[in-house]
Amino acid sequence: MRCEEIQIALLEAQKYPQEILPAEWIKHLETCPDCREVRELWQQLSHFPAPVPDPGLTERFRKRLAHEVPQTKRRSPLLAGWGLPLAATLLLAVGGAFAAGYSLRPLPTNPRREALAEFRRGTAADRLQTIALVTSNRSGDSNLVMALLERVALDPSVEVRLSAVEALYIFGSDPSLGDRIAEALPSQDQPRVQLALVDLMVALRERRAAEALRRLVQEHRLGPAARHHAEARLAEQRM
Amino acid sequence: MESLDDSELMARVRAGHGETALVLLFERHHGPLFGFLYRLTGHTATSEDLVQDVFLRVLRYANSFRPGEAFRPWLYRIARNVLADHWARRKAELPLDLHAMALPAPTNCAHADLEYAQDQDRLQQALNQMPLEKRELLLLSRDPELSYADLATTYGCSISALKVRVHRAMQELRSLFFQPMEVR
Repeated sequence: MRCEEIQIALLEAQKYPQEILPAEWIKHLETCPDCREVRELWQQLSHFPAPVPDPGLTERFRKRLAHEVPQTKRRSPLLAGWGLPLAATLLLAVGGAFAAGYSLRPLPTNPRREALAEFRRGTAADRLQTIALVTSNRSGDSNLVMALLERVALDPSVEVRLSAVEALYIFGSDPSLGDRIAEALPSQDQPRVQLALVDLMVALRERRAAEALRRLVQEHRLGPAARHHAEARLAEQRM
Repeated sequence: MESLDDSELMARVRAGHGETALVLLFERHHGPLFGFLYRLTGHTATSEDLVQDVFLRVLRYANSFRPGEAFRPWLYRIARNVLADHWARRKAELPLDLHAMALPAPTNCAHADLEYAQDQDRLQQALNQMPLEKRELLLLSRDPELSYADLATTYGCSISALKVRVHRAMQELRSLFFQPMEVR
C-alpha cells in the first residue's frame, strides 16, 4: 500500500482505537516515519482534552427556554379569545381560498377571507403570531407556502418577512419551493431577508435550488451582500 | 423519560410539547458540543451562548428531523449553521485569543505532564492557523459518535471524497504541527 492509502485507512482506525490494525499496516508503520507521524498526530488529536462547560449551563438554558418559548406560543391580542379554532379556520381558509381560486383581496363578509386576512392586518407582532400559530400545525399545504411567500415579498415589517422565511423551512420537502424562492429572491428589497432566503435555499440542499442560486449569482441579480453570502454558502456546501 | 433514546425524545419535541425532552437532549449532548464550539471560537462565554442557540434551533426546526435519524449528526449540522451565522455576524474570522484558550493545567510539574501540556498547546496553535472549515472538519472527524458516513452527509459529498478532505486537512495540520518552532 502507498503511504497515502495507509494514511486514509488510518482515518477509520483512529476512530476506533480498540481495533487491532492489520499486520500489513503495522509493518508499514514500523518502516515509514511519515505514516508514524500522521498516526501520532491523530492520537494527539483524539486525546485533545475537551473543555468542560460551566455546570450551571443546563439551568441557564432551561431559563432561556422558559423565557423564549412562551413568547412564540403566546397569542396575539387579535387572536385572544379565538384560540385554536381560529388557527384551524386560518388553515382551512388558506387552503380553501386558494383551492376555490379566490383572489387574495379581503371580503369582510366571507369568514374564510376574513381569516386569511389575518396574514395581512394588525400590527407586525400580530402578523408574526399568525405565522407562528398557523405553521405550528405543520401542514404541508402548498397554498400556505404561497401565503408565506406573499408575506416574504410584501410585508412592510422586515421581522414578519424573516419570520415567514423561517416558517418556510417547515415546507422544505415541497419540490417547488426552491424555484419559488429563486423567483422571490431577486425582487426582495430587504438585504436581511435576501440573506435569509439564500440560507433557506442552501438548507434545501437540492440540486435545482443550488443551480437557481448559482444562476442568480452569475446573472448579478442579487445585491452585493446577498451575492457575497450566496457565493460563500455555495462554496462552503460544495453545492 | 430519561430512558427514552434521542430519537424518541425528538419525537416529543416535534409533537410540540417537548421542553422537558429538549432539556434532556441538552444534558446529554451539550458537553461535547461545547467542546467543539470552544475549540473553534476560543471563547467560553461565546461557546456557551452558541450551545444554547443550537438547541433553540433544534426546537425551531424539530420538524426537519426525520424519525429514526441519528440525532447527533443532525445536531452538528445545526451547530455548523449556527457557527456560520456567528462568523457572518462577526464579519470575519477573528484571530483566536490563545490566552483565552488555556488548556487544563498539568496536575503536577513532572516532566511528562509538562511535555504533554506543551504538545497540546502546540496542537491548538497549529489548529488555529488552519482555515476554519478544515479545523472544523478535523475536530468533527475525531468524534467517535460521528461516522464518516454521517460527516459525508453533513458535508454533502461521498465518503471517499470526505476522507480525502480529512486527509488533506491532516497533512496541513501535520506540516504546521511539526514545523520547527519559531525562535523569538
